[in-house]
Amino acid sequence: MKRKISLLIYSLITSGLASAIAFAQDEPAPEVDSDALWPLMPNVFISTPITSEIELGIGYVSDDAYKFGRYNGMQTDTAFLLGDIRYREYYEGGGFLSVRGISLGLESRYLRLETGEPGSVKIFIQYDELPNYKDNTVATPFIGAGTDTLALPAGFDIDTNLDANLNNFELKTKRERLVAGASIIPDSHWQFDINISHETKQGIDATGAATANGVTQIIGNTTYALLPEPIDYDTDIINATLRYAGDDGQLDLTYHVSLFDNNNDALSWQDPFNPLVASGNMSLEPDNEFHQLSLTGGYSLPYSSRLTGLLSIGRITQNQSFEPYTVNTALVTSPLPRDSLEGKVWLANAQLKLTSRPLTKLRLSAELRYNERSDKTPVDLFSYVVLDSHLGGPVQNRPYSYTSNQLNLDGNYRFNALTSLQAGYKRDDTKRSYINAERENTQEDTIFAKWKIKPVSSIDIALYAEAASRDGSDYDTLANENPALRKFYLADRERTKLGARVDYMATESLFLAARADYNQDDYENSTIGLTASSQPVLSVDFSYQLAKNITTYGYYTYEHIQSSQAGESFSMATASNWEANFDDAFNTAGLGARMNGLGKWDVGVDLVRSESSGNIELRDLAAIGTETQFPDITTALTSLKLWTRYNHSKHLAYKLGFRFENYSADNWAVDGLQPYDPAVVRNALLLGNETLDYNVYVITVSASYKFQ
Amino acid sequence: MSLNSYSLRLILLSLLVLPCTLSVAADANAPVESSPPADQEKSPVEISPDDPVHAGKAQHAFKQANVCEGMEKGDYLGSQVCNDCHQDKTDTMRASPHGQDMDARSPFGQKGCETCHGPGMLHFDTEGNCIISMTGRYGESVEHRNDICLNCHKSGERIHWTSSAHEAEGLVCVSCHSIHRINDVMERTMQAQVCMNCHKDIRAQTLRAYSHPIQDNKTTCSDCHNSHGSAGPSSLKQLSINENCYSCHAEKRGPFLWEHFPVTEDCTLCHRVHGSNHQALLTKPGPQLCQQCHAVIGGGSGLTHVSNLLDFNAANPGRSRFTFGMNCANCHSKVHGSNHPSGAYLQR
Repeated sequence: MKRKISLLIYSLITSGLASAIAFAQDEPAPEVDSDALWPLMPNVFISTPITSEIELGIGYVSDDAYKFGRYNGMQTDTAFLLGDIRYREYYEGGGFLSVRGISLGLESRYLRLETGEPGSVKIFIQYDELPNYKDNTVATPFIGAGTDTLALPAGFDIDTNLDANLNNFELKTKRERLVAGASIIPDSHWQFDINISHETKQGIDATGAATANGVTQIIGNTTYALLPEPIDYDTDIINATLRYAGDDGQLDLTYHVSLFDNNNDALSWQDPFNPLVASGNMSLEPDNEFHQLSLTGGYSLPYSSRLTGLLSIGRITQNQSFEPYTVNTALVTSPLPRDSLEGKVWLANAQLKLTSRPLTKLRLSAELRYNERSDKTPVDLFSYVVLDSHLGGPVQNRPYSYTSNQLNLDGNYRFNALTSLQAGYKRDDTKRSYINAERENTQEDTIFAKWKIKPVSSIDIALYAEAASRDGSDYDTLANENPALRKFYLADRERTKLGARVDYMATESLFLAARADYNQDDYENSTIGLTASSQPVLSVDFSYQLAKNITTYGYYTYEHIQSSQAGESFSMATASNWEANFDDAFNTAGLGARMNGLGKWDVGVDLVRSESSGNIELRDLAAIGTETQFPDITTALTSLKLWTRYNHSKHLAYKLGFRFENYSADNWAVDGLQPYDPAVVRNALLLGNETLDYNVYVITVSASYKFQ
Repeated sequence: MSLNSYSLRLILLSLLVLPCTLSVAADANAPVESSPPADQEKSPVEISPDDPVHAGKAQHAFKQANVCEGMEKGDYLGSQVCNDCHQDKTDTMRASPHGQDMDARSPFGQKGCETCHGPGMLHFDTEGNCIISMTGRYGESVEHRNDICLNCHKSGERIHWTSSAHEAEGLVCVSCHSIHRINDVMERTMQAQVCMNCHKDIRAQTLRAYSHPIQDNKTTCSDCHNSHGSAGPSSLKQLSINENCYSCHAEKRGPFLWEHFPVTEDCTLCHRVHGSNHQALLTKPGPQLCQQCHAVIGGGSGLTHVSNLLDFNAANPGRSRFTFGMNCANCHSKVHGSNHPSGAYLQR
């Protein structure tokens, strides 16, 4: 019965492709090499492989845990259905049907159906959901959360009746994507692939919104509110590729289209501090289109050499109609210089790489890359309005263009069975062109070396070092910025990377590995801004096979991200008067075991602990010791997974799973803040959210059936 | 802890000189009999149970005795002979695209198992030895083993393989792919596990408080990276970091009337994409993140935006609003660019 159903599905899906298949079959299949040594016996097998499995069951989540269920859909304390399927069958005489379903009972479900004739044609359709549960502890007095117009209730007064008007809502979005595609293979050299996807993303996010209520915008007078922002996006993507595969040369010609459509153009709101007289309006992300044509190729040359390359040209357009300068009807504004952006950006990419092994022991490669973004958006003066409050001055838009040229040279020489050395040089020249560019040109030179040694057959060691130096043309700070500021992505930089790796097969059962990496950036010519950063990472691993059917493993990773920056608080003085050091330390450890074939039982366990601590240390260079320090930002995750599988028969198994997670966090920027507390944060209406600590366990019970 | 450039250059020089010195010594004293060839590299990841990290002593003995010499030129037997001893392998093969004899491109559309493993007669005669092994049991070089796969898989996403980072590292196809298993790296729920066997720092990052849904298998490594190499940076599937991000976050693509230049240039200047302890995968919390590039003198009061860094405390409610909530984005919410005519300062 099952086979009949699957055949029926296959027939239904493929009937519409009869012409395509016929087209593919018109071309006679290449003759099988009738090498005299090949007995030309058909591949006849008596057995039928077990390749398919379906799993059905139920699960239960013990507690509401928004962060736990952020991406998997298990955010509430409820039961859910378990549904997984992996089905693949090849039919006599050609044709196959494949079905893959994952988490079908949850909002994170994935389902893909694929069918066709091997070597001739393949079609697929795929449906995918991805929730993003961000926060359910938020509240707002605005009416219309999730729409493009936010209004306050009649009589709203933030100082007297906010609490009575607060309504809880959820910060969440959900993506749903449908993809369909086909591959047509007319012969062994040519293939045409196409896939088309449509994705919707809907829900509510949070955004900041400032107003100034008619007074001059100065620090202290501006008010702001965190608002529920409506998310309602449609994204359509088409990829079409014509492929040629020859013995020596291969070529791909790809056309890529991405169309983004935001169903909300703007968001308007009443100023919660002055609801009767002030309101605001902001643009939301504009619709855009991206078209790209790429030609990618590879050609095999003598002396074990290969040339690969790419040519690509793309165009982004954006022509969303502009919102008015302001929704404040009391202001008289100049006409807009044009009604929409008329934005147009050209992207060009080229790459050419030659890799060669002129000697058995020697591998050489050379690569050139060119990347260009050319923004052709018209430039105009915009007589902007400050926060829907009062007239500002004319400001010119600054379309952003750049070109990047890269050269990469790399050589690897294997001295003998024990030692090999890789060394290389990279050069990156970037030219940025936009109005009032702080620094038009930057150049970075990098050299690196990697030494691999194998002192004994059971040990592999690799040592790595890299040094890079970046400088560039004169740096001109903007008129209202501190002259000593150097933006870190444009600034002179000395970069250092060191790494070491040891893999040790202690016995046939015990494998040990250790890695250490150290990255350091020095911005020696930056007085204001980021001045230095470093990032040591250490990782150790083991896997131990206790018995043929019992494997254990464990790991520990330590990472420490440090950086220093400096600033000047009150003037344009070029000497900094404060410094700050940032330390983010991470500890991650895991331990697990797999035991298969314990009688009819398979058992597994995974334990993970991940901690982080973020520390900011301030130094007032004028009065050291008087500054107030920021509290630490901490997170801690403990996760335990246990599962077992009872193999009742060759086909039927019962599964039991248990998962426990504990998450706790401290974040001074969020914890304990009321939506409105002028004694702590003046002129601000927040969302009142809390860090999402949780304790949750999930139990799953399911039956799994394997079949041919 | 810091290193000056002189220390580093000394280390680099050592790395360049030491191997040459050691190689001279090694050439003179190389324990030829006991040292495996360099190309008999251990698979860096756990693959299938039939892929022991070390070749068995029997295979090694056969190889050393040159019994397997010429094993690639013997007689073919046909896959049904292989099936007599390796039914588990042939079963899974027949359930995969490799095992379809109606597809002339498939191994089973050609010489079956022996399309990849070579003629099986010597393997038969030596009672289970002397066969081309993808794990290099008989000294097959990395290039040889990869060439077997590349004979058919050189096009499409593998065009850049020979110039890829993984190829330069000496990886073989079976480092990641398990041809004889149904669940290998091509299965979305298995992929991250395979990649993180080597990319251990990324494994730890995905367990942080804010990450893409990699641990939930909703984002796979291959959604962003082409592990076989690409023309983009970091083996990304797209030609730039930002194009890669826009493939899921198309709303950030713009162009905008008011661009935020570092955002337009490189998303990773502000975001730590594999995981962070700061919301939205930011590299730092605000406002310090912004203050790395902004030291702007403020409005008419003479106060400055940067002054809040020193004034963080509850006694300064007028300034603490630059640190609480969304910090700078409380007002400058359009950090990815604004398309509003009055959004020059990314507030609309």
